[in-house]
Amino acid sequence: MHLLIQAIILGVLTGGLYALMTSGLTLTFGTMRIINMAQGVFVVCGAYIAFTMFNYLHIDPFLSILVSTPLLFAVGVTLQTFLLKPIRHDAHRLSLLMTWAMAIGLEGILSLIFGTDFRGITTTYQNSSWTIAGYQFPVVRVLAFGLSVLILVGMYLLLARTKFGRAVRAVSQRESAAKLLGVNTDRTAALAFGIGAATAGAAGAMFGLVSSFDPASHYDLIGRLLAICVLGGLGSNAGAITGAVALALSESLVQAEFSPAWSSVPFYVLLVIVLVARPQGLFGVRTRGAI
Amino acid sequence: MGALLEIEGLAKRFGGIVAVDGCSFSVETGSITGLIGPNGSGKTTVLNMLSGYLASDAGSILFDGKRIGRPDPTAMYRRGMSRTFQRARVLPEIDVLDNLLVAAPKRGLAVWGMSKANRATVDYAMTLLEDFRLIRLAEAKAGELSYGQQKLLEFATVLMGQPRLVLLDEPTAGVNHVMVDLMTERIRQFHAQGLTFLVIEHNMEFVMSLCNPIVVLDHGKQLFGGAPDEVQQNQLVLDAYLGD
Amino acid sequence: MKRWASAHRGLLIGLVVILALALFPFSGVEGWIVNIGIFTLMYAALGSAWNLIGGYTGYVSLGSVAFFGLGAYGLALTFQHVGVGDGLLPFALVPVIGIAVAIISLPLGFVAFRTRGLPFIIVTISLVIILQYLALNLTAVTGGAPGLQVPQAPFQPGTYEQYFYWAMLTVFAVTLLACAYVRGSRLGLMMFAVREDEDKARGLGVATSVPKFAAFAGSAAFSAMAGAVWAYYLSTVYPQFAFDGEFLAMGIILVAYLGGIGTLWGPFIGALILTPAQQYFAYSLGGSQLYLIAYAAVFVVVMLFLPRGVVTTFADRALRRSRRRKQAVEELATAELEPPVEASSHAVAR
Repeated sequence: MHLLIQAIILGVLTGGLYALMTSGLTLTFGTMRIINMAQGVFVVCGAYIAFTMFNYLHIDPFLSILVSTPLLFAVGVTLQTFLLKPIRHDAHRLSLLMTWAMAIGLEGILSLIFGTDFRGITTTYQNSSWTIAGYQFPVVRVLAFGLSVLILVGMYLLLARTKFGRAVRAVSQRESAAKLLGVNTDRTAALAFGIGAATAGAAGAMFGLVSSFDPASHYDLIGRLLAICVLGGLGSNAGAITGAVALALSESLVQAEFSPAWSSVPFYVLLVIVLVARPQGLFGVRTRGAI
Repeated sequence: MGALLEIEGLAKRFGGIVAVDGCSFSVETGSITGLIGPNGSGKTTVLNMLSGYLASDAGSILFDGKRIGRPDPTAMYRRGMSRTFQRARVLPEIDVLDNLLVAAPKRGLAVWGMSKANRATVDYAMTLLEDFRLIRLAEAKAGELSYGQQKLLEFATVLMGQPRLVLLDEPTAGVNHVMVDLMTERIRQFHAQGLTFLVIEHNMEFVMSLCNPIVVLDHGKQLFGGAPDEVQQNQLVLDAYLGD
Repeated sequence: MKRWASAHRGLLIGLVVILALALFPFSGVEGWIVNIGIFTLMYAALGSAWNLIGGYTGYVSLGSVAFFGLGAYGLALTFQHVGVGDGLLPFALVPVIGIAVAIISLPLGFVAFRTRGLPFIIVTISLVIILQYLALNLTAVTGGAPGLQVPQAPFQPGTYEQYFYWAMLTVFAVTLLACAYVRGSRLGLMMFAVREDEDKARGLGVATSVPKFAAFAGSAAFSAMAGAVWAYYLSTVYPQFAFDGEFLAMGIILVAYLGGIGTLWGPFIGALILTPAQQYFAYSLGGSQLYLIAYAAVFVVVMLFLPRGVVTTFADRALRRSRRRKQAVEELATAELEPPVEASSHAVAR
């Protein structure tokens, strides 16, 4: 029982981080109706930035978020402008391969700079944890969870309260109408893609703290993030958060109770069950048979 | 003659909005029944439920005397009820003739044949194209046709299934008068051959000259039903239209 | 004879191309070139198989590679547990594996077809990930990360590649034939209808699950056949390559895009351009990081400059030329139907 509750604690804490990574994916899907296959590599970029700053400049990974976030924002906006904007006339067909090209291109660049060895960030507080009522709360994960929640709340406020947020919502409802109402859809798309990448940058620094990584880690990551999206319902923020926690929770439970090798199985079983029972995902809106 | 289609107490709500509220009316065999009403009166929602695109919350549908439990678009088409859409829907990247051939009813092993359709089906499709003056465009992609031609094509397409009832959703919307005349002519022609129509329309001139009886919907309910002149003189109908 | 030839022009072109391809190893080329030929034909077969589901039916699937891997493992496991002799005999297994994988694909299709559009893509990505995961972890069956060994075929060193070349060519030819059949048949028409507007198709009495499952299972069968031949050729199967979502899955789609989605010859032409280039990069840049960057650059160039594919682009150009000739007739036809008024109502309707 103790082990179980401990696993739940770890699962929820990790889930917050996954939710942050997925939120960027949801944002780009909402505004541009595309799947960003490069979200995983953006996370890995964030991890490498934190790794570099920690090893060479001795800057704490949590502080490096202040660098990785704007940097990835710039990368996102640049990539959107030069690679996605030119294909927007047929984005729903072409963006899959285009964002995938970004992913493997960035993977190549990362390998060129950092090599293909697994890396990790080893801080002094790496293994320390708080003990509350007999349960371990690892410092790194608690901080990562707290920060993820903070950024998610910030994103929510950005979307709910600002002009940019209104533009995003308008574009995701109906692009042509948004255009007529004077929303600059190109700029909204570029900003949304940039912000999506920026959340990955922030999440990446923390991802580097909780697990080891190499340039090819993005492949594993994007697979999980996409599965989270489908489970929760593509485009739904509540769905992304629920899916993320479901993934992290099931992984941590199987790891604790059974074996790390099978940790992803229950999540994918759950995914199949959800798809059969509720194809639009847990929080998705049913659009089948649309007139 | 009896009723080909009878609906009773049909209802649908979207969230808190009641779109159709216990709607009942019938379509007599061999009639061209008009379905009119102010914007938002639930006409298209009724059509969507009839054709199986939308599940109803309550009510029953009787087609040809048989109760239809859960209508499904494919099944309804095969039973002999087919529809068009308010904004013409054709299959844009395949050619005009193929648009018709795809609608020819085939089932079971016939699906696995080597050709798209047998001689007789192709001939019938060509006759329809001739009727709708689309024959020269048989090999063009449907998406290349003008909007009006697409509406004609969609109408022609649903006739491939040898239906007994055709539901037309605003056949004249966004179409010029030459097309409207052609559309009217074709409706009369197929009506004369025994086809029954249920027509949703905003173009009053078109409805009054073509349809009898006319069913008026308002707020998702039948407000009135009768011959065109009765509808024109009915105070309730005038209020519904003018009151908005 | 002449009339027959004009009616079956496509069939004749196909025969000539396949025959020319079959004679290619006799032209005295070296083994490594035949090796590139095998990979090109593999991509052509996989691309054509993908076209059935992604190009004709419009369901963009990343699942081809899952069935490719199942075919590869299928062959290796049969070798291990049944014993199928050696030499040419194992090739007889290939169609059996194709059928078996097609049957396995049906329940998977049932889950995947609960969704459409972007979620469908993601579900098929998940399928590849799950299978890779199982191949890695079901060590008792799959041998885990190192995978399974297939006994090497006892062919002479000089002609070793040729047999696999012809086997892969056969898989490609069969796939192409299936595509040609589909394009001219009622089944293909139903697939196109699903691609164009699935809900409208349902309203036209099309039982949409028939073309969807036919495309899915057919695509699975041909992909699995390519996988089985590939496994025998390399005489090894391991998870990283058999369920390679990173390069193979996307490479297959790129081949189809480059050639022209939904066209008969597109995937072949795409493979003809792309695979030798890719093999060249792999040789000259090695497994190095530059290879990744070059590969990504190829994706970007294709998406930016040839988004509709080689075949589609050229076919459109030819069509426009012949259209211009027919235009006089067309204008007459439209003039009688379409007075200028139509233009304005058209704009409103859109």
